[in-house]
Parts: sequence; C-alpha cells; structure tokens
Amino acid sequence: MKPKRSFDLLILGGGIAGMTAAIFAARANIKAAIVEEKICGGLANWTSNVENFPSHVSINGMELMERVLAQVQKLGVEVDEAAEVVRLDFSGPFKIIETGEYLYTGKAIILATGRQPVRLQIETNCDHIHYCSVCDGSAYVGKKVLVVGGGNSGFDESLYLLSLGVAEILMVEALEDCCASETTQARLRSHGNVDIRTCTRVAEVESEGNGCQILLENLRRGTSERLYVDGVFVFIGQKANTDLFCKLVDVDSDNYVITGPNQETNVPGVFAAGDVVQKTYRYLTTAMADGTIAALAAEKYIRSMTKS
Amino acid sequence: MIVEGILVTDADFRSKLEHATGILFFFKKKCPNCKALEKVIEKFLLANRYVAYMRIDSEECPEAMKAFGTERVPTIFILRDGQITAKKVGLMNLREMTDFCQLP
Repeated sequence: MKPKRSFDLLILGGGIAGMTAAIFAARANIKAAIVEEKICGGLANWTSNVENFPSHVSINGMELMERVLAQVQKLGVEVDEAAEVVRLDFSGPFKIIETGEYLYTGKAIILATGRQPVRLQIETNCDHIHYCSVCDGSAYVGKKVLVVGGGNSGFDESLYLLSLGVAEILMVEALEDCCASETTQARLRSHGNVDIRTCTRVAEVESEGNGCQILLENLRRGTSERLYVDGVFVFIGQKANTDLFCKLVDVDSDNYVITGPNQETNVPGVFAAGDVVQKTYRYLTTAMADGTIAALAAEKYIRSMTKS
Repeated sequence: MIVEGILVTDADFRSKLEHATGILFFFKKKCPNCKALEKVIEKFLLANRYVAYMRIDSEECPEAMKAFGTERVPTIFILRDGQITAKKVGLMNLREMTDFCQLP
C-alpha cells in the first residue's frame, strides 16, 4: 500500500504553467502539490536564451525556471519531481494521481504536462541521433553535424553547437522557408560554416563508422543526395504530452486538451493550462496566463465543493 | 539537492576512484537531462542510503571524461572496487535506475 498524500489541488506537470498555478493557489491558501515526471521548468529548461520574457532582456531558460521554482517552494507548495505517474483517475469527487511511490488525492486537478519533442520518424540503427545539444554537443567538437528543423529551436541549438566548437553545420528544413525569428536566422547565417537547405527532408540515416550516412531528398526538384555527417541533431517541433489522460478528458485530433474560457475541461474539477491546451500561441507568457486562470477557477471550484 | 555526494575533479579522480564502489555520475550544470537524472539518483539514494555517490562535472573535468571514455551526459557508471561494472548514457526513471543498479 503506497503512502497517501492529500491536497486541495493537484498540479500534474511543473512547467511554467503548472508553477504559475501553484503560486496563485498557494497565495489563495489552497494546499497544492506539483507532481512532475522529470524536473520543473518544462521545455524552457532546454532554451539557452529566453529573450521574450518581460523583465529580462535575455536569460538562460533553466536559470529562469529555477527562480520560479524557488518562489514556488518558498510558498510551501509540495513539489515531487522525478515522479513516475502510473495511474490517473478523475471519475470521483477526489482526483487521483498514483505515482511509483505515492497515492495523491485532490479536490481538483490542473493538467499542465506541456509538450515533448517530436522524434525523427525514420527507422535506423544509428546511435548518433540526438535531441539535446547541451547533453550531446560536446562529442562533436571539430566535427560536422546535421541539424533537422529550421524553427527557433533548430537555429538556437545550432548557435549553441557552434559555440561549443562544432566545425560545420548542415541544416535541413522540409518547408519552403525556415520559420525561426529573423534575428536568430541572421545570427546563424552570419557564420561561414553553416549550410541551410529548405524544401529538404531526411529520408535515411544509417550508421557508418563513427558517424552517419544520410540521404537527403530535395522536395522541390525531386533529387536526392547521400552525405556523411558525424552526428544528427533533431529539432522538428513538439507534440502534446497527453498520453496519460487523452482518454479521460476531451482532446482535439492532435491530442491537445479542449478547455473553456476558464481553462476547465469537460470533466468537473479538472482544468488544463499551458502548451498542453488546444490554442494558437504557445509561449511562456501565454502558459502563465493559462496557469493563473486555471488556479483561480480551481480555487473557486474547491471552495464551492467545500461549502456543499 | 538533499544528497550532495562526493564531488570528484580532474585533480583527484584517480586517487578518489581507485578503489571506489558506488555510483559515478557525469553531468553538466545546464543540462536538463542531467538535472532530471540527479533527482532520480537523489530518490534512489534516499531508499539506498548505504550506496556511495560520486559526481563529476564534465565541463570542468575533460581528463576524467577521457579516462572513462565518455563524451555524453548524463552518464552513470557503477563502480566496484574501482572497476566499471556497468555504464548507462541518458535519462532513466526511478524504476529503471533501481533495475540498473541491481542492488539487494
């Protein structure tokens, strides 16, 4: 029998949306707990420089998230990181999160599990495919790497790889144009050792020696080319992190949670906030707004439940 | 961090690890997967308090990285009397970590 932990509000996911909700809950005297599968901070932890967060011209994403977490913990919110969720149950008046270690119960729950990187959809035995330049970039100092994806992440991470001492970057983007911000694109394009190819997709990656043999297809011309690179870094966007509960609440065709104006889902007492929600714009600031509204709406729900 | 472990450096890794038994963890300060694995190790050690825990900051210790033949982080080695008995690169959850260590 796992130890039971009871709270007013459970927050599943400790990204900026979940942590913002926790701050508002704690300040409203709502006893809240964050249950996080990895570490608090979410995708912001993977961002070298956050440059669109009011109050900081530029700040490391992990540093920013550590500051928010310190505020959350100072307010007395219970934070359980590295928690493997094995079961969720929203059917009764008390919502349940069962982890490998504990059984959490709450009068309401906020789903704030965010998104996770999309993996390269290619069958390969190559173990030089990576999704984290901070973790794996150092192995490619003085070498040539392929970066897949021409969004902000692809450009930011390419700049980081170059700063580590990667000798050459080949970037491919399947669309007609790269969609990263103009300033970031200009910064990367100013380097002489960067080759950016649009309308190009990776068709094959095979292990060869200490690197990879790749097959690139030009979608405009219908041509293909084989090249050798030492490693492949993939930044092709994110998908909703809803596997645990996509059958428990209404989600759209891409598995994003459908919410009302107060971040409520179709299940009473279950709210959702941040990138996991169906919406157009996904930024730290929009996630914070969701977290704020979800916490206030959850507070109202919990108070009405206590009265009745 | 509740469980600090022993911070090992390029200057002392040979002497400190020569007869070491326990978990050796290579990390980077700003690596999200390292931070996450650190939390897992922390939980693991709270349940296995007799296990020794040693940490090496990979950015500050290129010699130790080279000596252990690893270029990526997070990487965990299991040492028994200074000998490597297991190696794992990348993130694990607590269950996987417990299986990996295979401790009684």
